[in-house]
Amino acid sequence: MDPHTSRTDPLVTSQQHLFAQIKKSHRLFVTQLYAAFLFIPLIAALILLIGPDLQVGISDLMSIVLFLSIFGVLGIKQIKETYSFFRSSGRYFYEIEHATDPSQITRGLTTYVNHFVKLLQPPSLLAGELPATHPERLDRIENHMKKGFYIFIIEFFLSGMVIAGLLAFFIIANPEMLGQLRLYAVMAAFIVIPGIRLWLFLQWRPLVKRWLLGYQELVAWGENLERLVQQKQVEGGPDL
Amino acid sequence: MTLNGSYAPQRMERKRLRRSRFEIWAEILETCARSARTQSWLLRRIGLKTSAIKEALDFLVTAGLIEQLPSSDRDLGEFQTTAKGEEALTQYYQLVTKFFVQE
Repeated sequence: MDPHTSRTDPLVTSQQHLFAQIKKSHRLFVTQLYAAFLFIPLIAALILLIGPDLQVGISDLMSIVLFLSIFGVLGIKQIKETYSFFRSSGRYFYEIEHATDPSQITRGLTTYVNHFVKLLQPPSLLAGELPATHPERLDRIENHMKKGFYIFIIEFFLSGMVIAGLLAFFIIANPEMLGQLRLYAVMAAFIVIPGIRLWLFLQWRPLVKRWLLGYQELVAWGENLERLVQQKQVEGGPDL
Repeated sequence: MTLNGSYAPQRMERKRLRRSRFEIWAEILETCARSARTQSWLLRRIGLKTSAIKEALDFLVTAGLIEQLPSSDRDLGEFQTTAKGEEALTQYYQLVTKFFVQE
């Protein structure tokens, strides 16, 4: 039996274990993308369903469109960033997931991991500014996570206030809408979608932190290889 | 909010995608595992400058992590991950897997 196709092949087994774990974060990525995509159709639905019935002037409608555009732009920014990641790395994930022979090693997992780590790294942790194993890096990761949390909370509540304000405005402008099902459908959507975003954020946050902390170990892996080469050049070198 | 939880400027994107030498080593080890690959093939697959790929290959060959299969022309010669290289790659996978394990 070829040892490379055996179930006990450590390389294939470790690759499969890694891929099984990565699937979870990849699914979260996909869900985030869908949630971001849903936000824009919802804005359009709000305008199409409620807008024509409003008894308000053009300037009021323009103000509403401006408000919604600001939040739409925020959604597009997230979609663009996520999509760029999928475009550069998603095909590797797809190739691995659809590999015809699961007992064989597949290629592209390291590329996916590298792109993933780079995507998550904030500017304060970029290579060249601070060595990956520097003790201060942990503090910067903590600060980065706190900052991300505060930004999300502020954004979340601002979105909620704007949406609540808009719905109130619509109802005041056209009280007859209170008895209409479409108003409640839009309101429900604006509660469910932010709820999904909050859930995603809470799931995503610990994953990001683990990735950022784990990057130090990847650097340690590379440094270990460098050290072994140096030893080998001096004395013939031990195994890994 | 961006994926990493901050509003990173666009100009940083290019810099962020630049790979470190460690990341390049891991990609080469995986690409050449169980299948010999030419330098040109690696260039296309990994997307690096010729000088960068040569530097990485030199290191990995010196470390005994990959071997160059016999050929009259270095540029046409094929490279394959050695058993020691596979061991290093396995360690890489295990390290990354550890990131995901709940504490």
